[in-house]
Amino acid sequence: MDVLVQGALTSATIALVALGFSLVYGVGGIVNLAHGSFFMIGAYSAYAAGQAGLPLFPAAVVGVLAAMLAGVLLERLVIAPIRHQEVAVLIATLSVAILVESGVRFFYGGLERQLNGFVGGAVQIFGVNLQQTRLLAGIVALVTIVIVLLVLTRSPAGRMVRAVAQDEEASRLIGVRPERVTLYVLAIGAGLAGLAGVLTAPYGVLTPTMWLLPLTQAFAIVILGGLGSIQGTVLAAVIVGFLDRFIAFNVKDGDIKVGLVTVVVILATLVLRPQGLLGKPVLR
Amino acid sequence: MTALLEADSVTRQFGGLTAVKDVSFSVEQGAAVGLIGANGAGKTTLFNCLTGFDKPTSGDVRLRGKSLLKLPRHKVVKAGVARTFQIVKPFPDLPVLANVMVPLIVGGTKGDLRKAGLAVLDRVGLASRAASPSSQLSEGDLKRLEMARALATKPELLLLDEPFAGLSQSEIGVLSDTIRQLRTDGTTLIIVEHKIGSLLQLVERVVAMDQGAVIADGEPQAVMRDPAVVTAYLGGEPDKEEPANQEQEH
Amino acid sequence: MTTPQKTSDDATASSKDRDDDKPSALKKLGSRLLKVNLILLILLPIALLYFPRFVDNTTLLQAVATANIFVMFAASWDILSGYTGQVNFGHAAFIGTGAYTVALLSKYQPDVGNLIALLTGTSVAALLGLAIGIPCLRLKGPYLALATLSVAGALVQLTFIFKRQTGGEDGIPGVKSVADGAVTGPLGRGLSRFVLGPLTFDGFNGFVQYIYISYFVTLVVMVLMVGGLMKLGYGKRGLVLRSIQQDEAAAEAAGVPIVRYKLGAFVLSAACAGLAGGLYAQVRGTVALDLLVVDLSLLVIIIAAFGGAGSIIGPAIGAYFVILLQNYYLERTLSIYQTHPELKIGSFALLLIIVLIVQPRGVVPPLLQRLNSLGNKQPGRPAAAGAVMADEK
Repeated sequence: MDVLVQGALTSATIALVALGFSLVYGVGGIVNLAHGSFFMIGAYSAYAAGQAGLPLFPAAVVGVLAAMLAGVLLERLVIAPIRHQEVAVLIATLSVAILVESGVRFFYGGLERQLNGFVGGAVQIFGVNLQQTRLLAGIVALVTIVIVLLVLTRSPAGRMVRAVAQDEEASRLIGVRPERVTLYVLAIGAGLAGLAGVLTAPYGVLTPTMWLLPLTQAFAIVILGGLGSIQGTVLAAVIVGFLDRFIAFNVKDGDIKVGLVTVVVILATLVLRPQGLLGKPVLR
Repeated sequence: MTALLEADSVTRQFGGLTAVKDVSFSVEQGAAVGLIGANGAGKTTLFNCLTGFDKPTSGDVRLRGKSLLKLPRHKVVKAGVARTFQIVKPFPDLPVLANVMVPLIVGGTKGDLRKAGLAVLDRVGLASRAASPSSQLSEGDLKRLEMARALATKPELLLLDEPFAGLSQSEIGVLSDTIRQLRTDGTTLIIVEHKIGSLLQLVERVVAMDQGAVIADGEPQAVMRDPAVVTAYLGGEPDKEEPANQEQEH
Repeated sequence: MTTPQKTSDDATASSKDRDDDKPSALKKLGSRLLKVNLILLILLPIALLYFPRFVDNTTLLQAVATANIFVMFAASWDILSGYTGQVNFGHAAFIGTGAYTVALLSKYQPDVGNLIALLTGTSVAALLGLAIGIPCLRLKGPYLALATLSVAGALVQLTFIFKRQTGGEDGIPGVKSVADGAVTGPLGRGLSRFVLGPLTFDGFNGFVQYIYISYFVTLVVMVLMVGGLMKLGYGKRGLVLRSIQQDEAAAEAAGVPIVRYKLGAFVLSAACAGLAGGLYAQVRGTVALDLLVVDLSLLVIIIAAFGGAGSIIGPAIGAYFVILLQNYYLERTLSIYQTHPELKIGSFALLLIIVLIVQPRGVVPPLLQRLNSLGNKQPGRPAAAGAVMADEK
């Protein structure tokens, strides 16, 4: 039961990161290796705002906004000029990730930092003892995902996004500007990752290298779920999320083994089922 | 005498779509066979199955009685089946000579590679461009380079995928001479081509496909008069190029 | 000097025939490039070999020794990424594996000699290369990037899991030094006699001895490795490797067993990186996470980018430039780099980003043209999407 409840909550926050990563890939064809950095920027900005005396909730908003701003800057300054050069984008975004890491180190040092919980105490759900802050994180994440999915499937804006994802040139013909859409999607993806960073920060720790695991997990999810498959992304997020908690609970030193398992999942998927669980073949 | 190449009930399905349906034919040593059909008739898929770039869902492809299906692509080449690509795929950054040296190297050519490379280029009339970067070649020269690279694998059977696509009439004439020369040198040829007029001057047999199946097989004039072929072509557009190589889509 | 033509010329250079009327241009080009190569290949190592005799600056020598190591990092990255186009974003995985293997051996089996330890590190890294190479065979572009990146990340996690053995964040101190037994060994005696001349190892104190030995050992191994990789890269095999990068399907149609070549490049790259990493451990006397983290992987890419990927010698020279700038010049002139070492990789990352933005198609031609699709020269054709993901689009 522990694993089930916790797994569900973890899945939700992981899916939040993966959704943005997957959207940006699907729409702009951009693999953003700095996606995990948004997660980190969200967390650290909220921390910084908190340090500056802001109450928790505004601080959280600052975190999300900071991540979105970072997403916009990244798209405008770095990605847009080189967006059709795949390897250049990969190298540039990885450089950004390292730049952000070194910036965080510069301002905050390499030590672990902690964000206060939004809500204190614990509750019991299905007989499971839960930190309330963890529960809150899961619920907010879940609601956000549902909203994003609804917007994506039901609204005109969502249709535009899907049009670009399907065929950039064709979408141009019906009056959509793919560059714009890419920018918006990147900003939103960054915001989602930043939100995940803010939400999980209270029960995790902030370190300058905290960007790598979310990036890896998002990648695992995209691979596992199959490229361009929203259902696949959600399903894969659930699998990775449960796996994450299962390991954390049942394996000695589980928390530090999570990343390792993610990699195993990635490699196993690549070998066994390169098209992902539900997606079209992403590989030749 | 056994045929050089035999396709035995070759079928290739993509999901629910049957691109090639139970195709059987054989090609004798030294022959030149044209493979025609409207867009989407399954030519390219069949072509890929014959050259090891795709695996048939069922059926068999044999070279001198030995199945090619279990072989990885480079072993198919080694066995003596070479191909060109409809959309030329040079090694753009390598000079022309280096393009043909790659197959020579992996084919185990001993001795002077440069000389061997020049000899191959000479067969297609490209020796004078040996030192140029291949990205600077004209479309017609690229087609010949494509052919030279295939020839450098010392094939018994050479499959040409729309060699005339995108070429001017005069370029087609030059290339046709080159192809005739290959035949004289003893290379067996299978040519997929939309430009029927030019094709018929090169081959003594034509296999026509429609909707994945062979609908006619025989002497060029007979095949072109075949009612099934006429119908298929009136329905289709014989002179348009096929979409991009199907091999890229999966 | 890093034009692609060079490849074929070297391969043809062995020809002895005289009846070359048509491709004389080819030959001329070949001989010119060969001359450049000769200067670089022979003069540079000799100059480096005699450098310490005339330059009495241990800080500089130490920096050059480190640069020698990074030359190997970059050159070993290049034989995989620059040549076959399988751009590796986690080269540190191989480097760190070599380094940690050597360090663990030194910790638990102190009797093992330095050379054996190095060879063990090399083999373990090569095995890892094979293990990663197989699942990565079919991957291109972003998939390969993320897969290699995350494998390196997983190794970092492993060091935490085996914290007792690997020291976690603290790393493993006290790795048996490269100088261990080297002075009295044949290399040390030979160097004393022929290279150092009036200087002798005996005249130095222990620390200086260690610097000199580091310098010479890294130099010798580096020259051998770079020489070997260049011989490969500029020879027949290199040509075949490049053909894979240019167009995988075409290479297969040309009969190239691409699986064998790609895996071979993966393993060779890993082995060389492991050897260099192991040597680095012996030179530094310590291993830590900085040998595994993304920063190092990126630094290797930055180095290769500045020098020009796909040429072996380019990244090698790039390594001297970047490492000497970073470890010798910047560190001594700007105090902030001492108090905040993280700014070093940060500033190079920033520099790389700026270069990428300002001139996406190539003021630094190496990066964009070579890394990406090995530069198709037609303008307008998106270079990057070219080779690496050619078949998907």
